[in-house]
Amino acid sequence: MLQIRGLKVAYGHIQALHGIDLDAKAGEITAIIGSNGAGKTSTLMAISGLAPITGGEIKFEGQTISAIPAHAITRLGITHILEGRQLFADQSVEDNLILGGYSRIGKDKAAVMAAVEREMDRFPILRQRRKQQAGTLSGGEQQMLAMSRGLMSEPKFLLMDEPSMGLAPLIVQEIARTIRMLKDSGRAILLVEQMAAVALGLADRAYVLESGKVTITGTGAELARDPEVKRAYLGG
Amino acid sequence: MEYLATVAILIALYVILAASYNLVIGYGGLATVAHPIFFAIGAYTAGLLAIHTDLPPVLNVLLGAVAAMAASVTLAASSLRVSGDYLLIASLGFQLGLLQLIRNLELTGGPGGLSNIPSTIVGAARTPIFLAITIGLAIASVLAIRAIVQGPYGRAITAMRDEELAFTALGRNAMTMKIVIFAIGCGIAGVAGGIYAYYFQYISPDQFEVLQSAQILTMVVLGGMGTAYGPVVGALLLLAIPQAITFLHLPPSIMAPTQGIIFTTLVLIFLFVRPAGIMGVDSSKVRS
Repeated sequence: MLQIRGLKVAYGHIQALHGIDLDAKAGEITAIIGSNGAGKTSTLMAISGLAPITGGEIKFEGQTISAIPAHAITRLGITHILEGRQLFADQSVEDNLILGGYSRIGKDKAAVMAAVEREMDRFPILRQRRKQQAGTLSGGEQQMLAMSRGLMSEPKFLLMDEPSMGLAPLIVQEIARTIRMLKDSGRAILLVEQMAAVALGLADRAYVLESGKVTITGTGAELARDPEVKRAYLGG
Repeated sequence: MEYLATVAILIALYVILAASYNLVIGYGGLATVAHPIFFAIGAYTAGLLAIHTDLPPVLNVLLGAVAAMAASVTLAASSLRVSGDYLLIASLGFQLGLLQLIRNLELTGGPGGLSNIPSTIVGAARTPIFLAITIGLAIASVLAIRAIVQGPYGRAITAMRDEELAFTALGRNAMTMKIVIFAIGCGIAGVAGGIYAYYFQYISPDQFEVLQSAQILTMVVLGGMGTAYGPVVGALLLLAIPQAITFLHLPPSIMAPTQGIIFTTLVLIFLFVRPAGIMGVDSSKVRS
């Protein structure tokens, strides 16, 4: 579904990615793990057009997308759920969702509202919070809203950056369940996580990024058994 | 009465300026200090067309707005490619440079400005007619801006201002939206300029200095930035109160500093008592 070959990203003189290869298959969860500054977020940003690509190629369903501007990427069926959730804090839960489904607003308002209802069925807590300002939600609720907002455009391919960030362990389990549910509904997911155990538990295929390079790759289970991965990322 | 009416026309024009500046800076989050120059572009375009052509005044004012809009797109499209901070710097250069050009071109009358702008409306009804036009336009622009920011487009504008990255990640083009907001705001300032030229029949570069931005910004902040009616209240208060003391018949040497002191005192009071402005909602109180 997604092929990355020799991808390089640089911010001015700082090289974030030194040419990585990565494949994400349809219907699978692909995970990227690694420490801070390894280039995980840069990889997602490069795919969604938010980071400056200096080399290499990204193909989505056979089409080269490395040169497509960020706002047009969504239309291809890719949605990026950003790190730190980035909700529109002063706007209501409902408005946040509507903004996520924008590409249909104006054309078909009823379809947008139907999608809002669909997302509220997915996360019933959002229905209870419908008119509440997004900034007043709890961390877990905010993550659910961020996911829902991204799902409004019914993406085929979901980029998720640190969905567990700042959440209590119990909530992390709930988010993990949701991610698995999204996979079961047929979506491909590229997941970036610092919580390696959670990511590897979910992943069909996983990549370890270190200083902008892919160092280890394999299935989620293989990586979970890998002594190097265990030592560096799983605390054992 | 003539004097009061002129003050009212001036207030109405500043309501238009403050409301359009609020659209750009308060809703769009676009930092610019070039609002006076777009006011000037509207005024000079309409003024020059009135002097040199036989086009109808309404068309001249509209062409002034179009010129201001076109200039604003040039500024925004070039500087916003770099960053939002760059717009602030570029707008300062644009304001200073273009005003310097106006001050030195023969066409625009140099430092002496343009006089002899034909009076399109003559007779005793002139001032009342201008008063009606400017108040009508002020109401129309405030309501039009309100309609923009409270509709679905407004939801998107706020989202773009508050979380640009997420806004882009959701598939929207923030750049285009910024340029459009900037162009609308500056075009409205251009309309105010055209009316200004026709009413006063005389315009000079000194009336469009960069410091005007500070005054308009104060109106916006004091009234309530990012609120529909804040700029109206701000413009009224900041122009009416200093004007009111002119009736005390103080000598000019005392009058000017007194007006300055009133202006500054008002700003300081609001800074402490109502930081979000008169019409603004203090979010620190709502959240707690």
